[in-house]
Amino acid sequence: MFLAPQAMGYVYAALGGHGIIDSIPDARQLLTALDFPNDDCLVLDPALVTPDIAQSIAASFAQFPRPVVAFSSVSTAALESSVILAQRTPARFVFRGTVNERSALERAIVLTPDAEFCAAVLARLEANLNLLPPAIRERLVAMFRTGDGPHSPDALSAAVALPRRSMDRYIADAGFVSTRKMVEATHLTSAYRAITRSRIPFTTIASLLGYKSQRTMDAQFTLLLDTTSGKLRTRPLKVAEAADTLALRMTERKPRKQSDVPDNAAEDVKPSLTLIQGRPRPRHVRLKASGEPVTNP
Amino acid sequence: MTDTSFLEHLAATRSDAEFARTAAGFTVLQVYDSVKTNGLSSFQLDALQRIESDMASIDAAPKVRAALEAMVCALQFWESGGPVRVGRKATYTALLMYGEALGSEGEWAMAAKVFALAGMDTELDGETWLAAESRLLMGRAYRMCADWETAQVAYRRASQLGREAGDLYIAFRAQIGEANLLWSRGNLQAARQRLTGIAKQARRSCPSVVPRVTLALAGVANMSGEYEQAISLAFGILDTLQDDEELKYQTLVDLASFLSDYGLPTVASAALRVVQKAAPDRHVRRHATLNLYFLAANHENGTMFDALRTELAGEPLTARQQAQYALFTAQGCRRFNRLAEARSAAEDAIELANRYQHFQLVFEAETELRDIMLALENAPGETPQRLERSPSTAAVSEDVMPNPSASSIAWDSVPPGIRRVAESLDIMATGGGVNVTAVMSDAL
Repeated sequence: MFLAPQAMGYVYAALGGHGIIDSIPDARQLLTALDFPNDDCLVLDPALVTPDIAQSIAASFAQFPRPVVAFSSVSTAALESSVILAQRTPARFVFRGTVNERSALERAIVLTPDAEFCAAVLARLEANLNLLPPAIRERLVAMFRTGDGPHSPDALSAAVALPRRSMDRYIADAGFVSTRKMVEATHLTSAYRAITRSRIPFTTIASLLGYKSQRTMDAQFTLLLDTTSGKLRTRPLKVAEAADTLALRMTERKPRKQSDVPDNAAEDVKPSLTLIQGRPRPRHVRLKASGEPVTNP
Repeated sequence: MTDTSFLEHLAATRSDAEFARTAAGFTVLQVYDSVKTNGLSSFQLDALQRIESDMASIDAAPKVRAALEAMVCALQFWESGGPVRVGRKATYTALLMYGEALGSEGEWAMAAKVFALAGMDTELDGETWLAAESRLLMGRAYRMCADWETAQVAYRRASQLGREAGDLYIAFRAQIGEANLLWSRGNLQAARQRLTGIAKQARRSCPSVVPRVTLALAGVANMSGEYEQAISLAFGILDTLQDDEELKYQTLVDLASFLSDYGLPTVASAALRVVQKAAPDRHVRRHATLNLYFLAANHENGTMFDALRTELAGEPLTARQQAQYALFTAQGCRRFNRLAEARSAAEDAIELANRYQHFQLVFEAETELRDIMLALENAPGETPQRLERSPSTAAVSEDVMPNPSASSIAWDSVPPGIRRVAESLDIMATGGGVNVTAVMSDAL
């Protein structure tokens, strides 16, 4: 991490005992450290680097991608460097000054996407993504790359300034299964690194992703990756294999029984009705009364 | 924002300094509204630069100044950062900072409007986490304004958004806020049940929020007259808060209030002296000093009272705090038989509280003035009987409690557990810091 001393304690508290923290004393040593391939997460304060150094950091990231969290107060110096980092790196930003900034930082550090997995998924989805209007495409790509962004289809439609129905139609026309599945896929991508490369408890990861329980998270993992978080940790999939499965699940259409349902209709326009009546679901997933899918115990 | 309390506030205000800082805030919000609607143009950039240069001459509290400067700076990056939208995120964060700063200066009505604006805009922009944060703070601000319905709606939304954003800490804090609304309105049993349920869930899924639930439960216990339990609960969590500066000092202020209600004002003073000495935030230290002044006015000797009076006279107080300062001065002067001074202070308190529409304080000050007039009519040197007052329903750590306990209790009747708390606080106040484990072992 490359932070002001008073912010370092926040990182220690956020990570708990789940990782090793190395403090970098100055910008020169930071640039030296970035000159090697490494997938350690970098936490830095953009206010401590000049725009020139931010450009150099971005160049290093292009060569050796890795997760990055920018944690800074709102100041002109910080924002000048932040803009460069936002445009050229997968940095996730947490601005200081809010009451719950600690929990925001914790989420940012734990849920940093795996750069290799993210690149593999985006490469497989490129053709479909190119069919989307730029606003939706750029937003979705940013969500995959940074692990940050709208947490629900409604929030996504607000973020891209399009009515929900229009956005769902664009997503369906581009060959994706549904907006909800896209949002879930970005969640899964952001948690992939924490699951495969750390010992952070699954319940913690599930709650940071906004799931009620590990079981709910596992249901999504099963739907999107054909595996659970526990299995993924004990027997990690190869990145290419995981990316293939995820890309397939995001784009494959299930056969519909009702012939009057148009093929290109987004499947989550009326989620509860379509989910229960119109679409076969895997045998290992059952539906609770609330409509929340969970795996069998 | 044009038809909100900003204009009312501007119309009502009499001080040039206050007018200037309120106007600066209002102008920044107008520019924010314009940038949001029309994008950033040279016209708005000029306006921002003018505000930036004016800001240097405005007499504002450091937090307010920092927040306004952050707003001015962030707005210049509004459309920057591509799809990651760092400029917007920074602006929303600065907006929340401004609301917080207004709150810490006691301007809750304005703070509530700022949080409502931030909440609406962040939700419309798909910034779920910032929306959850805004709604949580909005709930608190409306609660401070005693607008229970709006506070409840805001807390509910904060809880939903917090869960959606994967931040259980916000979700649980919103639920605690909703439970606090119940006890603010006098429904202690429902509040206790609700908080017990939240504590149970929090222990399972978000242990970091448990101290906040415990502190809220201590507040309910205090309101129910279970002072010893309130003191034990609040003191019990202090040791778990070494990393949480905000909650640590909030707990100590609450603990002081519980001790004062229990009848141990000198121990309450010890707790407040720890806050006054160690709290990093100036407004928290000032808050503790004002509480100490209140205790000195009602329980301590004249020397302590006069020392604190002089100390506070040089502090930049918010409008509400100025009214409280005048009220406590009146209370202390009457107690020390300086009746002419007391009368003048009470009249000041009424005038200030009326001007800024702090009606509970108007009532308190009028009652005080009546007592002073009675004392003036009676033989000199004779102090009239105090009127008994019930505990305030305000959240203790969020405001000074104008709630003088009728009498102190005898030390012999204090149970050993509470004595240990008193001894520990005394050690902390004389230089031990807020390290409960070390202090407890010293005390034993």
